Amino acid sequence: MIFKRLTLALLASALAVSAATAQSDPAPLRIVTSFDIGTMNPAVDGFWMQEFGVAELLMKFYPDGTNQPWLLESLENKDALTWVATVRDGITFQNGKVLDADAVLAVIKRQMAVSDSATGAVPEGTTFVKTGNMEITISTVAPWPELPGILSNEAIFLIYDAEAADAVGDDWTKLTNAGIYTGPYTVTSLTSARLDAERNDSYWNGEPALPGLSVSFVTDPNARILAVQNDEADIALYPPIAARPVVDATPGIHFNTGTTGTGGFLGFMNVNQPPFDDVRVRQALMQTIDYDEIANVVFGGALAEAKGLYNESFPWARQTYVTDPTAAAALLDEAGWLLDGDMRRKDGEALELKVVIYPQQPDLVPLSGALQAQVRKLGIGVKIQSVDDVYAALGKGGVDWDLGISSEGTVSWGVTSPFLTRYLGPAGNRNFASYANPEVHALIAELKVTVDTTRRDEILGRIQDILVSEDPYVFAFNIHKGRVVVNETYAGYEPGFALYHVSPTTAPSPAQ
Amino acid sequence: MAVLILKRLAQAVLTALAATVIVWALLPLSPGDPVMRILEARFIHEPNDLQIANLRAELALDEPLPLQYVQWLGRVVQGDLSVSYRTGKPVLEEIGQRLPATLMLLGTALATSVILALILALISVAWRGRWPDRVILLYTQIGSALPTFVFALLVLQYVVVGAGVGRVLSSGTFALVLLPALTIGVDRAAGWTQLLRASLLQAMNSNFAQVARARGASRWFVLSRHGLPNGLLPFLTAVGVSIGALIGGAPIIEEIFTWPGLGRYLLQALSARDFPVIQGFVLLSGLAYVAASFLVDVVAMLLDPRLRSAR
Repeated sequence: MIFKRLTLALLASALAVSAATAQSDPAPLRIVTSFDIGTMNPAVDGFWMQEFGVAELLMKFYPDGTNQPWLLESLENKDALTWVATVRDGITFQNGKVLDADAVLAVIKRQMAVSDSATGAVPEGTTFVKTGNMEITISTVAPWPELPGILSNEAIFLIYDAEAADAVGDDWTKLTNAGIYTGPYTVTSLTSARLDAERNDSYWNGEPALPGLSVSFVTDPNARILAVQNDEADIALYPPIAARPVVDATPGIHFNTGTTGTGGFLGFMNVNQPPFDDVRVRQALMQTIDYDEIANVVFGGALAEAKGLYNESFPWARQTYVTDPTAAAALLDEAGWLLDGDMRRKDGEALELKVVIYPQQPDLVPLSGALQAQVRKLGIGVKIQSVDDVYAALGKGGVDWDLGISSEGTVSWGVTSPFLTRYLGPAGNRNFASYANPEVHALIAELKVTVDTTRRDEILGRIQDILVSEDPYVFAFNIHKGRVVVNETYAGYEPGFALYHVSPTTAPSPAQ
Repeated sequence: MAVLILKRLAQAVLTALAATVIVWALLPLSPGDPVMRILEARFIHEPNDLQIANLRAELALDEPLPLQYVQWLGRVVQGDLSVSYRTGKPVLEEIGQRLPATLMLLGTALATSVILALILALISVAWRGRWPDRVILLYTQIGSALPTFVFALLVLQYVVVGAGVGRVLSSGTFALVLLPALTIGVDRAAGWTQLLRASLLQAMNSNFAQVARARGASRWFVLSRHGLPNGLLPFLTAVGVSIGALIGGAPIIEEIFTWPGLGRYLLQALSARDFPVIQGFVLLSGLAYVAASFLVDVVAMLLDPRLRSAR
């Protein structure tokens, strides 16, 4: 009898504990995204893993434009050619292996052997040497100011167990459940349709808030939103801005925007032919555009207003953009483009811009429409052409264009020189109009080897000034913001900055 | 009969060969340097000369075009559809992983649409001019006019989300195939019903059907024994010819219903200009079309002795 009572009491208490646990533990987070994760190969597809809380990096890029240690304890610039990286103590991979200088060096060595991104990012002659159990000294031939950003870049030196990755040969499926990363969630399954991960109970930075998560790969944006609406997902990434009115009118789901990001819709002016061979017309266009209207009226605040080429939170950002139609009209008059009826003409030719957009970015349709309306007030016509491949169209042998618009990142995890080199540099493969400003080219070259932050900010500031007042070529229509569609459970979820969608603290929003 | 079938087979092989020329030409005739496109798709934005030269040699792009085609065809015959620019994996392997889900969807859709068209056409002819016929005619007109993807979007919005039937996120299992298959099937059956109805009416107005009726045969007997066998040939041909369109249209439906078949893979390939994948898909649907046409020809010859003597 006593034994029976004892058993019942134990059973009751076990049920109570299990009920309490079930109450305190939220359900696994369900994300639906547009991109699929092809394999468990860390060098090729590993970068997705840091976006969903599986993998981590040595450094992290923050919304204020700085790079701060993540898996590192510190990263110090000892002299112009030497950096010392100290690995944070007490971190293990999900498989239990300790993260130390050897483990980090193994990843660097492996990435340099198998990843083009890593090979391309590290200057020739750079050495990584173990100088302590948790310390690595990085020596370079020339100053390497962008190292903190390189170590924050998900595609370059993501931290994983290199030994475990080598051991599986080409059979990447063996890395499922192998715990090769250090993040709060461990991958348990990866198919062509979905990734599943569970909580890493030995996570170094506190207990992860969720028991696990799933990431479903769905290319169709409408289906992603409907999945949230139908309670099959909590968060839909990358919804089109055009969906916002529908989402706002649908009960139970929300369109959330996040911190201002690192790129925007950029306009490239063809400086090789009229009308943009005249600097005054370029200046006039930039002063005609109403950046506030584009961000806050046309896109309803889903984009941030461009006050300059860069996100205004970054220390080097200059707020150089001004909307002044009167000054723009004066510049056009001065350049000889005079009003004739409702159009501006010069030597009998109407001022009509050939604008190139592309269908992969549906938001370019309302943007180019807004541009058309704004410049029309000053007597400038716009002829919009949508092309299949914007880079091919703007390049050599492409279409006849005056203004090309494309979505671009201007800062790559804190690193500024790649965008400038590629789009404005003398040998840049996306310098569409062969922009050739000797001072800008010299400044880019100097930026690449300048470690001093103050001087770097000065260089970037000067480039921004030139691109507005002296020799405009590229400008931002807006600065992008992260955006998601969420259900009531995640109503308070803010889209992650720099693609950090899931952190250890990501959790359902507190009940209202 | 055997000679005729062999003749048809030879025609089918020639058609398939012609299709391979067009499929192969996708790569060399598309604008821009394929080497740069491949490197760009592999996120190598600023390749060095060695990377460019290695890839050019690997793809044999310096060889004359006819030789490139012959080499490509040789690899295709051996089952080598090259490697996806985007994922770096063999195209055949990637298609093979996704093909079962697509075949399940298309097979169910095809069966649904053929059965539906048969039933509706028979009902329509049996009750010609009365309300079932009018309702079916209205359906065929709406179905023929409405693009499948619009129908799919309506089904997703109002049936799945609105009425709570089925799921938005498909798992690719048989339990969830019915809704997308029905969407394709109901839409596809509309045109086929119109065609079969017209053929059946023509057969029912023929002398042999009138004689049968004059002898006292029932409406259903005449329809099933005389009308259907004679009206079926144009219907079968239409079904065979539509196989290519069915495969070609499936990616959009798969995309809308998040069906994990070839659809998303192909759309991503199109977006990334992943030509080996596009080539693989077009080749597959082209060959499926040629094979279906050949089978329809053979079946038609078996069903209709006149076709055997005429050819």
